[in-house]
Amino acid sequence: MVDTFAALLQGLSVAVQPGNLLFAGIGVILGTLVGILPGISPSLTVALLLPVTFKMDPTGSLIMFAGIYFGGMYGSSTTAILLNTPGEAASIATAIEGHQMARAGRGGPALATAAIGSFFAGTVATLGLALLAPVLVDLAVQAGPWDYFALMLLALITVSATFGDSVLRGLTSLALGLTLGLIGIDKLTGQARLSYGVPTLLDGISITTLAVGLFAMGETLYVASRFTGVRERIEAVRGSLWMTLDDWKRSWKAWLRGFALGFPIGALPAGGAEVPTLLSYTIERKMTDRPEQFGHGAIEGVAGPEAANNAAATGTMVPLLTLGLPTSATAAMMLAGFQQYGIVPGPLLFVTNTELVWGLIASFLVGNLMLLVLNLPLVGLWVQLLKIPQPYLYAGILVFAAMGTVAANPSSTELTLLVAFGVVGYLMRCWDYPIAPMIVGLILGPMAEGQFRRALQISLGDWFVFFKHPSSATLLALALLALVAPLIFKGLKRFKGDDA
Amino acid sequence: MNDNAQPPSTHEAGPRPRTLAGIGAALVALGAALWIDAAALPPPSVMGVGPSAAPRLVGLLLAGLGVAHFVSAWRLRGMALRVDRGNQRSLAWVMAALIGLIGVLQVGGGFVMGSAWLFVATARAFGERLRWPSVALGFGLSLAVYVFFTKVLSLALPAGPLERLLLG
Repeated sequence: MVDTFAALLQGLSVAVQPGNLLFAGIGVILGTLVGILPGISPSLTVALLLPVTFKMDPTGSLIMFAGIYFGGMYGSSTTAILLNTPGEAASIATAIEGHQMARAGRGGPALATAAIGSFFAGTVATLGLALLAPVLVDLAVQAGPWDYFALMLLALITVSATFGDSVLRGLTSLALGLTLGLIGIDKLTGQARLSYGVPTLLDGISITTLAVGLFAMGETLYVASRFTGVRERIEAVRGSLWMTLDDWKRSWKAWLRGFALGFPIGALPAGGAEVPTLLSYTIERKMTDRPEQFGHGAIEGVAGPEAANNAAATGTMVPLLTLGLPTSATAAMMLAGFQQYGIVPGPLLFVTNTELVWGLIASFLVGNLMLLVLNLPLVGLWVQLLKIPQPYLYAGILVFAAMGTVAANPSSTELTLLVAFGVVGYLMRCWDYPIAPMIVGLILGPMAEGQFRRALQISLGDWFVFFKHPSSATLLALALLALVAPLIFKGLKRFKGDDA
Repeated sequence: MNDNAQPPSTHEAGPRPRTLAGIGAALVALGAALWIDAAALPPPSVMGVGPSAAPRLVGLLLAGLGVAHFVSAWRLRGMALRVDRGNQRSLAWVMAALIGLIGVLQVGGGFVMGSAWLFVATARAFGERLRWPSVALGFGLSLAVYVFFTKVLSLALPAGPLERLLLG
């Protein structure tokens, strides 16, 4: 406990170094920007920055990536409230109540409760992360490859099957990602798999190419196919920015409940911020003493989900940093960020890169403070971004997307792959297949395979090794449960069908 | 998994039966491709499993998912679903923008030319006419990106005649 706070303080001293403060600032500004703009997500931004940051200082770059992630969470709530278009999937709940508040001239308090709630939840969740991380690291050091494999399997299943709309479509997306992960030279034996003699494929599919193709190209193609020429209406921020005493009274409990839902769900290897936000919205609607206001601008319906969303975003850093386990598309991109510097997140990171990891955790605190300042008084400035004409917005997104890939590898094979992934991303959006499982599958699949083979090597080929150890057997049982659980979660699914 | 038993009422509820069957066939084919590729790999030399185990497992998963797609296509058979073709003209413009970029880079036209075309054609897809504002903006942005990458970040972007003319 005392050690943790000493480490966190040491981390703070790293985070407030001028260079790292600058990176955190750039990160949160970029994150707010891409969170506000529709069509460009934090994970895509990190993907685009990977080739650019290749030569930079790892600590600074990773602090910047984290800033982008959190900034995106703050920014998307602004778009959700003023435009009724959630910038990220995790802001769907905010869009329901927040936009009604904005239309009723209460946009200011809606933005304020979202920003303050996000700040509160983000800060407390960072402290939770700092307390939880050393405990998990101690556990993780004792874990064998069978435990890691079982844990990865559990994460893969929860990300793709448990919380989506359809188990079938989620698993299909995952299987495609796993297939892409197999392409290239096998790290243990040097054998080429699925490369069909194409030299570019021997290196494997780069996560940047897949993410940029699926997100930037796929999204642009999809929006183009739905283009009607009608512009969305931006709701101006009218009236006071400040929350009334009544607003505070109604918000603070919702923030607490949002945090209590968001952080544990985010920290479980279950992934994503969408589930806790929707759960939080449902709970606020059930617990309110003013149910008639829900659907017409209830402030609890903004406060709770926004706190949940930020707490969950911080929560996903727990499995990422302590176990090296990404459970969302953005976490997968962060992992790719670690990997490009040859750093492997996991228990050893806390021993070998103490300064980096605690600096990163402490930078979450700094970043959240910056975001509160950036988002409350300056919200009028950010709203101007929503006035960029749609043609230029998407044209610009494609130029930046192409730039990232061309800079990393300007071969026509790579660009053709990029466009092919774009078409796949477009089709997946048309047919409602989730994208994130494919990204997580590409990055987690090869790691799971490595642990799987190592476990079988240690056990001398005995396949029961996964069931002999109580820890891995439990995790595998949980994975099976996660596959069957969607039936229990049917209520949640019905709710999503009604409101989202 | 009886979520497919309820008739989807909107377009968002997933693909139509014929499409589902098509996806199923593609998944089975992909699974078979994994098995064929795995068969060419050497068997594990020592203890444990070799590089062919994972492709076989993923291949099985793909084939199983393919069959599941067939089943759900069969369940939804004959159901009249709204066909939503979307805005094909805009879609074609974005595709032309992307393929044009590959083409320009392939013939050595350079990054600025390729990405300016990408910008202009994408803007056209979203209803912006092919007039000087969008052309100027496209060239300006592409040039700025090129200069930033090559001069500030010292990362290479493909150069063509235009880049050599403007920046030596």
